[in-house]
Amino acid sequence: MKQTLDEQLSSLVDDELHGKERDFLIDQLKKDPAKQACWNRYHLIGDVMKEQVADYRLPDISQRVSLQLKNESVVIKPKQFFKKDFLRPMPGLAIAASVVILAMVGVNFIPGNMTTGVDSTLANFSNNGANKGDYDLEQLNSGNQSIVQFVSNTININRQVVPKGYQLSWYDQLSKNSQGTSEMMIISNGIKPVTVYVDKNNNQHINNVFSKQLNGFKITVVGEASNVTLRSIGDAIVVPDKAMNK
Amino acid sequence: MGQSAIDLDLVNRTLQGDKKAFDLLVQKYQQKIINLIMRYVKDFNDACDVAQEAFINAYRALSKFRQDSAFYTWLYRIAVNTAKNFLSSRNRRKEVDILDDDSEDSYSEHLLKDTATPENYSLRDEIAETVNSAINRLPEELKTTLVLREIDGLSYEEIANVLECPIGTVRSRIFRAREAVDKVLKPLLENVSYKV
Repeated sequence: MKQTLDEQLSSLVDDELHGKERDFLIDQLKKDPAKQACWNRYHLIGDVMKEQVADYRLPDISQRVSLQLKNESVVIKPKQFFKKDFLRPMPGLAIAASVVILAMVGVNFIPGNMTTGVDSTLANFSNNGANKGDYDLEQLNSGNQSIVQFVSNTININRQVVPKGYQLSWYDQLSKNSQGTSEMMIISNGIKPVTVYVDKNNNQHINNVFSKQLNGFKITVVGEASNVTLRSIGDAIVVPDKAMNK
Repeated sequence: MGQSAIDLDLVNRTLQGDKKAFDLLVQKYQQKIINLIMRYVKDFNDACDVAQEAFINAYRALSKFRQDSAFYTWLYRIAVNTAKNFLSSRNRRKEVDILDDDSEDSYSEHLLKDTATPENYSLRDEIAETVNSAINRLPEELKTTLVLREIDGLSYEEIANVLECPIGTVRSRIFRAREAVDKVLKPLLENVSYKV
C-alpha cells in the first residue's frame, strides 16, 4: 500500500525510510514549512514521552540558525579533496581543507584583479604557470575573460564561458553575506577546485591572500581570515621530499 | 545513542553545500540541545543564544565530524563545550551546578533541575498532559507500538517481531498514533508563543 507523505514523514523521523523515497521526502521537507513544523512536532512527541524536554516555552532557534548560516561559507567534505598522495601522510593537518587545496592548486587569485560593478567584470582567473608536475593548474584558457557577472543584482556565473571541464560542483549555489555584498563560489573539474570571492565592498577580509614559494612549489592561501592567520597557515604547509622529487 | 542514517544523510547533504539539510538537523535537535545547555546556563535566553552558537560551531566543524560516531553525541559535546566557554567568558561559574557531570547518561536525570520555575512547570505540565492524555486515549495496539518505538527504541523490524505483525502494520500504527497525538498537540503549540 502506498504511503502518504505524512506517513513517510513519520517513518523518516524513525529513520525507517530509505532510498529514493527518503531523498524525495527530504527535498519536500526542505521546501515546505508546514512539513518542517510537523517534523518538529513528531520529534517533540518523542521527546515528551522520553521526558527529554525540560522547558516547554518551546524555543524555535532554527530560524535564527538558518539566518546565520546564510552568512557562513559552505562546509566541505575533506575526503573529496585529498586526492594527492603527498598530503595523506601529513600528521596534524590542522588546516582547513579548502586552504590546503588552494595551496596545492596554486591558483593566483589577487584581490586587485577583482573589480565590482553592475556592468563590469567581477573576477578574472589567471593561471600561475609557475607550478610543476602533477600539481599544475591547467591552462584555464580564459585569459582575462570574465566568467562571473552580475545578473539582476545577483552574482551568477556564465556557464557558457567556464573553462572546458570545469563546473560548479560541490557548491552549486552561491553563498552571500547578510548585506549581499560578497559572495563565494567554487568551480571545479571534479579534482581541482577554484574558489571565487566576489566582494562588493573592498573592506571585507574574505579575499585575503598569502602566497610564498616553497621548494619549487607556489603556496597560495586564500580565505576568510586575517593576513596573519593566512600566513600562519601558509607557513604550516609542508612539501615532503616525495612530492618534490616527482 | 546509535548512529542514525537520516542524520548521516543530512550531514552529507550539508557537506555538499545544502544548508537547508542542516536546518532539519537543527529542528530535530534544538529542544534537546537547549535543555542540555540549560544545565549549565540558567537563563533561558542565554541558553537559546548558546544553543544557536553551538549549532553554528557544529556547522563550521562539520567537515571534521568522524562519521563513526553518532551525530547527536558529537553535537552534544560541542554544545557542552560551547556552554562551558560561555560561562568561562562571562565568569559565571557560580551558576554551574553540574559542570563536572556532563556525560550523556546523566542528562535526563538532571533535565528538570534547572528550569523548575512555576511558569515553566505550568507550560510543561500542560503540554505533557496533552500528549500523555492523547497517548492514553489511543487504541491499545497503537499505544503499544508507539511506546515500543519511542520509549524502548526498537526498530520497525524489531517491533514487528515482538508484536508478530508485518512491518507495514508497525509503520502504519506509529503514524496513526502520532497523527492522533499531533491533532491535539498542534493547536496547543499554535497558542504558545515562542519566546526567543
